Amino acid sequence: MVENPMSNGSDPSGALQIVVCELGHEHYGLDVARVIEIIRHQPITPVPRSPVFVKGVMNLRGRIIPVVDLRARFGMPEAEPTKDTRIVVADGSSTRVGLVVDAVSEVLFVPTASLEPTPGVASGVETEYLRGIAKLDDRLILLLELDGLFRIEDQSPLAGAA
Amino acid sequence: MTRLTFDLQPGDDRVFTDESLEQIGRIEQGLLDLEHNLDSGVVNEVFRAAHTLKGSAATIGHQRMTELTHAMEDLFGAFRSGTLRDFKPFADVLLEAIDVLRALVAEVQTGETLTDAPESLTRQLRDLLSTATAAAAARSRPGRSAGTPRRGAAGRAGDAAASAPAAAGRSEAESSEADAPEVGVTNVAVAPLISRLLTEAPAGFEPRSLLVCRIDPMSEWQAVRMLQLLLETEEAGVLISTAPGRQEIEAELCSTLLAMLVRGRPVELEEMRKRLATIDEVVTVEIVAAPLSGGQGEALPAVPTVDVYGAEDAVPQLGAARADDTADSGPPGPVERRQADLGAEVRGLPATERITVAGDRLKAAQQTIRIDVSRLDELMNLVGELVIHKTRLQHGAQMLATRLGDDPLAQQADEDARLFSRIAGQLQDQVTGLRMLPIETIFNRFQRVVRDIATRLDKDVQLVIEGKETELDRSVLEVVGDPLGHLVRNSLDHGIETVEERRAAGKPIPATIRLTARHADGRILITVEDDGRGMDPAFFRRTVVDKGIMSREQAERMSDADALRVVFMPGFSTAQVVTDVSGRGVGLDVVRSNMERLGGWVDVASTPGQGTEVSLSLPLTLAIIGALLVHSGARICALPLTGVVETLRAKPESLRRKSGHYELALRDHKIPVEQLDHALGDPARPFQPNDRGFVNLVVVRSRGAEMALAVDSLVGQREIVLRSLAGVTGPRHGLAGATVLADGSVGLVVDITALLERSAAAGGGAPTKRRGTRVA
Repeated sequence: MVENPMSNGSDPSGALQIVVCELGHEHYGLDVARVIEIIRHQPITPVPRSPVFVKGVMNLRGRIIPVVDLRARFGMPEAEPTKDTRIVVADGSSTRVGLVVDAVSEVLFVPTASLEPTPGVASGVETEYLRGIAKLDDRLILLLELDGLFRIEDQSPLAGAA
Repeated sequence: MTRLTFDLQPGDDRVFTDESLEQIGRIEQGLLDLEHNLDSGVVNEVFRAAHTLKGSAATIGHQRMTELTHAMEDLFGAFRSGTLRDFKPFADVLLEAIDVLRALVAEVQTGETLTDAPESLTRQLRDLLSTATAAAAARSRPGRSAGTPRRGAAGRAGDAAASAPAAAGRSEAESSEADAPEVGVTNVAVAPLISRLLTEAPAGFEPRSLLVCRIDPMSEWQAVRMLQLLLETEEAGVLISTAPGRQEIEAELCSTLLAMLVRGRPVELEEMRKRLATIDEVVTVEIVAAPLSGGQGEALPAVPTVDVYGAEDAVPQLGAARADDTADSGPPGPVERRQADLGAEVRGLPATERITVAGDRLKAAQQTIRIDVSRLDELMNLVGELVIHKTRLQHGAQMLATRLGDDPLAQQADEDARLFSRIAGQLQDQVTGLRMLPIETIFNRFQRVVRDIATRLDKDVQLVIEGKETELDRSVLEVVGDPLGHLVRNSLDHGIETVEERRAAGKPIPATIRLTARHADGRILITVEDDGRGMDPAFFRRTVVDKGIMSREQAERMSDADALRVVFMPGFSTAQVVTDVSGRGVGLDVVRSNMERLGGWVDVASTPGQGTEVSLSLPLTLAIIGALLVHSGARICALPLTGVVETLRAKPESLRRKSGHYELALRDHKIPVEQLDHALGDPARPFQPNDRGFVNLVVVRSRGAEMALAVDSLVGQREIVLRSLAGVTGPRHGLAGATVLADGSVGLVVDITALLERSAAAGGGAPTKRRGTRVA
């Protein structure tokens, strides 16, 4: 391992705090430092000629932000919003975005020691969008690389690429 | 490079820069006016502006700027006194000085030396001035007494001083006045005031002192300054009495001198003196120990004078400059001139008028504050939020009223919502108004551009400006300058012929470039018009074919008007041959794209041999707009009212399909019909008639082209706050932005102009009056 994949946003003591989201049966982690808030699902206005994974735009207290459907982003089948559906509002390097996830389960401290670099391909998600994998009690949490995820001018859904 | 340092508090550099640039702009405008007409009002204005600049430069210790502005001030002073009468020889060097001044001001921000010109320019100005004044003096010497009828007794000394180099030819009285030491002159003028004060003042209040204040004779509100001095002193609780008295001051029966009898020893009053000296346009404040009573003016000791003009506590540079003044036997320094002007200006004017004018001016001056533009923008954003919530609140109150009927609570809520929205509306008008500026600020800079470029190209051009008072939002103003500059330069460079060509063609000399601005249809219309050689449609047809932009058939099909519009096409504009032959087309696509980004458009019309007119149309503001809200697909869209012509209902069968596109017969003509969401890029779908079987249509228009947009239902008219989608979803053709709706969801704001163009470009479904300028 050339560099610690957790170097960004991690606690110097060696633990990273993450928000754990669910998509289908997978668990994904987002660096808590990048997450602004987690809100219930709300009306999203579709914008013509957007990439398929951009569900549209929503109003976050007067600010208009794009909403990315992570299912569509990862090429999973579409799902109707349920009472567990959440929008994770996070800051990418250039814009603030909303991420639609099936559920948000918890906020965890992940010891740096339990992190592993990304293998070539993980569950159909291109490694460019992964910072690493955390192994916790038999659970695998894929840590998402926000900036890669939000590059919305990238018109192709990831599924095809992977 | 050594870093320049200035005597400024952090953050004050902005204030200095803003204010200086304002004064510089004032001088520049004045110079351009003076070149045509040596108007004494303008001379006064540029003189005052140069003086102010000198003062602020000295205050921050910007020596090179102080010296240059000082030289300029002296030169203007010579015109002011009438010593010099021909402005033309000075125009170029003074305009050059303007550019150098801007660089000097920029140095304050950058901390680096940006120009090495000021020293030589200062010298040049000084040389010009002394040569010219010497010449003027030589001319005026023989008939001196008869040749200067304008001078009153009080103005005499200064005028004599202004032509100082001519000292040799002066009469005894004049030269003694002019050469008298400064303090002596002061006391001569002050003496009667002081003796009057001491005679009239109530006895007692020992110890007492005299404060003698001198106000800038150029000040247009001397009386008001005096009142300020008086009130300030009164507030400190030390004032015994003044000469002239308060009533006299209020009636403007005063000049530029104010003597105040105050309680306290001179040493105790130093703080007071300093405070008074900071009042604007107060030149000097002197403390004199007053005799107990009945003292006479001539008994007064010579007192130290503190010049507060540039910097109170003797900034070294300014000190040096002042020393030059008194030592210099050449051009007169400001000190002598100021004293010389005592009385002349004041006495010449009716008292009642002056006090009114002065009062108003001062009020205006004190009631104007500078606000950082970003704070205005923030205010505008907040008002935008308020407008959204106003609509929301009204909506809620109406729902409540509908549901509860006559319930007093609902009635009350409805009433409150109404009141609230009225106030919010007024607030919105006010804040929008705050951001409005006359287009003059942009137009005026072209005077200089035209002058300079015309001189360089050896063309004779006059710039005529119309409607400069037309106001538009700052957001628009900021972005309209560059495109306009482009157009003006284009006209100068390529439209206007040389003097010989014009003469040969029998056209008037000078040529005219006309800049006009006016409001039309809720938009602002700006035109740049020249009477130059015009543009030939045939040439443009040939060129687009040669460049492979269009087929010959396409080119032939274009109307003459459309053929000219190809100058706005990307690709076309870089054609070197165009600039060489027809003389048009440099970067006009940039102008066009800039305009479109703002929701505006640009058009051109021309008659070969007679001239060209380019018109720009822009929205008045880019912030809050009226819009028609409609349902289309799974969302609400907002159609800006400026582009909405009417709403219609039509039976689906009345929409005829013609070569893959729908058409509607509307009165005497046919217009294309398209589903709004499809026009924006969603997949096509069948029309959605309402429950009575009609399809809702909105007829939109832009740049003379019309089309009907089919929508699922109409929601109503609303005021919306336009928000950018840039950075949110990338550029989306056909969308101007988004807005937050009353229920908190997001609506998409349609860019009608872009939509019509896209539709035109799509071919078959071309809007009725198609514009052939867009090429895929």
